[in-house]
Amino acid sequence: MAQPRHGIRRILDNRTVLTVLRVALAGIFIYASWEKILKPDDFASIINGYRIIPQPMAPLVAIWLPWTELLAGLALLVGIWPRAVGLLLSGLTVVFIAGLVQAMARGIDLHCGCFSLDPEAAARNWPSLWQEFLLLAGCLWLWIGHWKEPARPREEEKTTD
Amino acid sequence: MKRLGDNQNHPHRRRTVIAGWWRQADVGTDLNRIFVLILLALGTGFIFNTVFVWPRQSASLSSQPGSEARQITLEHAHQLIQRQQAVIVDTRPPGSYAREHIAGALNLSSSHFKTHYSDFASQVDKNQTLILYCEAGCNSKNIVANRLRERGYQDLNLMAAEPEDWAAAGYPVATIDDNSGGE
Repeated sequence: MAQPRHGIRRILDNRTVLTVLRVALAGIFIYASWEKILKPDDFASIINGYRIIPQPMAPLVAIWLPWTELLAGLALLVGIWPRAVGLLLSGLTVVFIAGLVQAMARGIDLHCGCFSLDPEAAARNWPSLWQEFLLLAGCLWLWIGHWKEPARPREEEKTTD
Repeated sequence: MKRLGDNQNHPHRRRTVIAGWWRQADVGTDLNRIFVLILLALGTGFIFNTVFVWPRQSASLSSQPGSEARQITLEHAHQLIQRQQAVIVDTRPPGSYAREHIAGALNLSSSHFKTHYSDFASQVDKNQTLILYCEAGCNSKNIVANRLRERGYQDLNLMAAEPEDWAAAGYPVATIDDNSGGE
């Protein structure tokens, strides 16, 4: 009975798989951030399309969000703080999913703005939602995979008294 | 002697377990790092925009006074088109445009902007009044307006209505077959 759980745990904790996942997620988030960083006005328009935050707040989010994606992507690429970055990106992806779901529930036909600011290139709501769920699974995997690693070096060895 | 912490269900015991887990997992360090990343992103974003994006935008706006896109009502748009004082631009994808569009509208979607812009620019002078529209809740009219403003178009107006509203008001609509202004 315990065998399958052990198998899943072994895959989740596999170093090679985690490294491939980390680099893949880094590439995805760096790619997703690039166009938004260069065109904050266009991205602010897309954020306004979601109709969830006050209009004057959109430019601030349009500046902050892509840079968070870029820095998180770079951190993953280099291998800095993978556990914290996994948690951050999981949280962000949950927010993206919530934004898409509320838009669908309210009948708002919007362009996701997830990976491209180009409305035609960007997938419509449903495909975007599945992409986001896949991304969430990847981020959670990264987070759980690094869960057992200490966030910082343990200090017990140093304290001799 | 029975101590307070011996009771598994006691609130103090539960708090101790959570605090122990929190320390063991070092969640606090993760949250501190996330906070650092968020602040770093905000700071870098502001510096980048201050140095590279905002000066370019303000230079563009100051060289073209009054070039910010304005909202326009359906009735006002109709009046301007009737008097041939404005060009109407459909910023939806070509498929939507082909199905139905406001009669006389040119198609310039944000998705095909690069390929269609030269054709558009050859037909529309930069001093002309433009009325941009798309479907309800869309962003493409704002995106196209921004790109046209960057290319020197000054009088940009965004219409908060779509072809259905236009047709419902009794104004003419067309399809790709009976409008030569299409692709």
